[in-house]
Amino acid sequence: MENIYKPYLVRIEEKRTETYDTTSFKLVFLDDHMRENFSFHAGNFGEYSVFGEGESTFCIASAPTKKGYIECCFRAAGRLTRSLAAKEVGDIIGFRGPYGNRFPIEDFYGKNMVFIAGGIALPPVRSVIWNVLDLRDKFEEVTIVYGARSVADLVYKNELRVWEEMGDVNLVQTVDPGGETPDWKGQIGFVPNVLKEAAPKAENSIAVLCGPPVMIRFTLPVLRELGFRDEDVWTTLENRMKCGLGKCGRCNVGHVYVCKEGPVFTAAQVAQMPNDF
Amino acid sequence: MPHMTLDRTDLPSLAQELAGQGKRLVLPVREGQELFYREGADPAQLDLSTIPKNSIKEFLFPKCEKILEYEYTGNDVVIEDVATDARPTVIFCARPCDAASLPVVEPLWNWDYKDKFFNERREQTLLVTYACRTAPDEACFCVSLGLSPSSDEGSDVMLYPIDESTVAVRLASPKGQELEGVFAKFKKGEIAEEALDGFAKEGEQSLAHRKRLDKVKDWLEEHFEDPLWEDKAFRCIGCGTCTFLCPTCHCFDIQDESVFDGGSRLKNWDGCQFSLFTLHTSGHNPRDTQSKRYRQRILHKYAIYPEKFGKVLCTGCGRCVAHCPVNLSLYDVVATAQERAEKGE
Amino acid sequence: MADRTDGIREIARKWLTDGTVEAVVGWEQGTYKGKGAPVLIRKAEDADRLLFNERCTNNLMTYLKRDPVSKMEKVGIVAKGCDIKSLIGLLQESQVEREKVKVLAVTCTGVEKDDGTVPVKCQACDVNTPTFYDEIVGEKVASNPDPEARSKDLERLDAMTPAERYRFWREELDKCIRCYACRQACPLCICSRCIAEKNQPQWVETSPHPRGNFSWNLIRAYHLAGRCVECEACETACPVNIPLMLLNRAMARTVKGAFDYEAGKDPEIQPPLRTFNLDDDNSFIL
Repeated sequence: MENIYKPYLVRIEEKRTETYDTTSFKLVFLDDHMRENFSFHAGNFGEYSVFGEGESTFCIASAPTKKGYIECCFRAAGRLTRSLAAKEVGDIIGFRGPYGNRFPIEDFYGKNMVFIAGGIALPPVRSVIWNVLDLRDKFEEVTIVYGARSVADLVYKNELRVWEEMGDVNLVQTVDPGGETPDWKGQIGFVPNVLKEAAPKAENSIAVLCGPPVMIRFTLPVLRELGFRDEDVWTTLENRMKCGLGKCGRCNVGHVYVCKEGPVFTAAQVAQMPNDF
Repeated sequence: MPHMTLDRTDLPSLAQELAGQGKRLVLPVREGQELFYREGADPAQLDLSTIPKNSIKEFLFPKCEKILEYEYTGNDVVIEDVATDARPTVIFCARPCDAASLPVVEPLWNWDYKDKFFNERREQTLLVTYACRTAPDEACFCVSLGLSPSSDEGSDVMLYPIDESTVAVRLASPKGQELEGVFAKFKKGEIAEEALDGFAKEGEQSLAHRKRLDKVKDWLEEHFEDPLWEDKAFRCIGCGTCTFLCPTCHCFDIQDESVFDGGSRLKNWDGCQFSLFTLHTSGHNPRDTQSKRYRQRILHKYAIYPEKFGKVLCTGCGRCVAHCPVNLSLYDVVATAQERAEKGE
Repeated sequence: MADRTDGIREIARKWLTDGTVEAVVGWEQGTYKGKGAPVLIRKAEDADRLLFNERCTNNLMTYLKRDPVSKMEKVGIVAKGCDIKSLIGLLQESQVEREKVKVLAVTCTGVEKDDGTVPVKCQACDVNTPTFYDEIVGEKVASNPDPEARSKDLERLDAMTPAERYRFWREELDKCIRCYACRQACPLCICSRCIAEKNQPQWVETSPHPRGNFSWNLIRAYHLAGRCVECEACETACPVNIPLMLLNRAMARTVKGAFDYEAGKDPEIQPPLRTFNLDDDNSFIL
């Protein structure tokens, strides 16, 4: 019987320091077969190992349309993420996955996509963004509203530039009041307010929303005011996970095991959940 | 169909015979004032006077087990799979509530992903269950879960102590039936099937005071926020006694431990009653009070698990009630929920 | 000792009615083998749930560190003499303010564990009639401690060679399942994050293997040295029957020999391993 706890080995091919505490990696499977055949869906996550330190849970931040590698982006906050942040290009770490459910991208074909993310929550949304941009003609308008506490906290800054320059993407960047630098050309304001001003249309639209709980709490009402139904607002829930396999008993929110039946949920599903997260 | 009977005094020899050469033999023995299931115990010390303090869980899901090995050479790392240390095992004279825990947890260990460690051990385990003539401890409540002191759920062979000197045998599974020859070596006589009915009734009667808990799931789902939780959970000190003694609790932690360049990844028992169990690295804890953690325990066992797998994550063995350092009785909590449900509260 | 029950109820009722305390922590009738079970009484009309008898074995002082009691401004606690010793320990270490805790002491003739045995602490008790309290209930009970009680089982350890002692503790501590019932039941294990819960760095391995168990149990014994009042909450709580008190009593004996100090007696003086004086005796070190 196979060992479900055994990770794949991946090598760090690229490392980018996104912010003072956030790092992103591009990871390539050591095994040729895995490298060629590994596939996943936007919304899936993995368990990333530093052998000797442990494992940590992050989404796969790259899009499933990109073959041959996966990417992740994480903040160095605890034992594992700190040791991961100290790894260099060429180092080998472990990856278990893909786990969890997915964004039903096919159900979004033909619709307008509104992406809203805050701070370190851009990576899970980014997976969907690139999935959509790689299949651009299947979707209508694409709006991205992304904000962080300050300019220094924005992640994937290089990609923000790429999206800005795309003619068929409406990118709105913002930082919290006081977080701007003198040469900041984006908006200044909290994401919910900036979203309200940007006022993307709700008709035939899907919203993908990820951010810290306080941002979600204030953004959902804005989306509802704009006319979005809770069934059309998609988000990912983070919870303390360990095995990713539905067995260690840690991640449930009421009846829902975030690692098996999530982490992707609609706002309507989240509204049904007990106050257990 | 009649069942064979054996002499009670032959039980140790039977155990020895089943274990044969080299099988791991687990049986209940006395240590001080209490009984424990112990691996490699001397069959002559077999003690059936009451329910052991530990469950048989540790023989299929050990408190600490290696799941991976790794070694660094420079920046390169090599990982090695670990073979399950499963070997043919005889658990001799488990109680029905322990045996019944195996079919309960089996779907969890196989929910989409199959845990080889549990499965390989289970496959190599022969479970011989000693039925309780009457409930062995005042904390027992197996009947509340639809089981009984002579339930054969999960068992390969049943032994019924029908009187002071006689034990009836029922080969309850194909694995058990294969061993007919071994048991026949100790055959004393026979007993009619109907006699076992009387035995079973006596056992159930001893627990007639225990409530059926059929309304608990619905009540729990409707009372997530209820003062009951804070009230009942006050006395909980947040240890892992109930969780670790419970035959069906299965939560675990994964830890890496290194010595210089190499080490192992381990799977260790963990529990939802610990304050750090659901703590996020950010500092946020969805279950930051003991009442929330205790609610999770009850909900998981009596609402969430049945919803997912069709079985309550409890066999009413009563260990949590008997050994909780502060006498927080899980039975009391769910019986209260049942009462409230019956009253429409 | 059931006669204390009425007195406790009366005082609890009074304290809750006149606002002396927000709540009273005491015992009520439990549901297993006649034991008492800890209860939090917030309303005067519930005071009749409180009782006291020889099956009230828990040390309720452990609730001082836990929510909701930790957040209360004034709380009443029903306490036996041994429990009060642990409160004295907490006061020595400034872990709780004296004004916060109203001690409802009971005179006690000893408790009985689930198996009917009488704990060593009761055989050795010198606080049957507590002297540190806000109110006291029960007739005076003279103390008649058995001078051998605490040292009796240490003789078993003393008779072992170091190798035998190591094997003894290996066998006992191998049983540990890291449930932390010992720590949670102990009123003096008060760290908001226990050393075993820290992972940067991982000071104590969390795994219940022999090495991890040795680390945990020995570190805990060290952290309690000079502080443990031998209330036996840990050993009573331990679900795998490790003789924790052997370890704790051995440490207490060493502290007594080195510093002539016994824990839980005087709230004004510091435990020796928590403080130093320039004229401390160093003869046994140097």
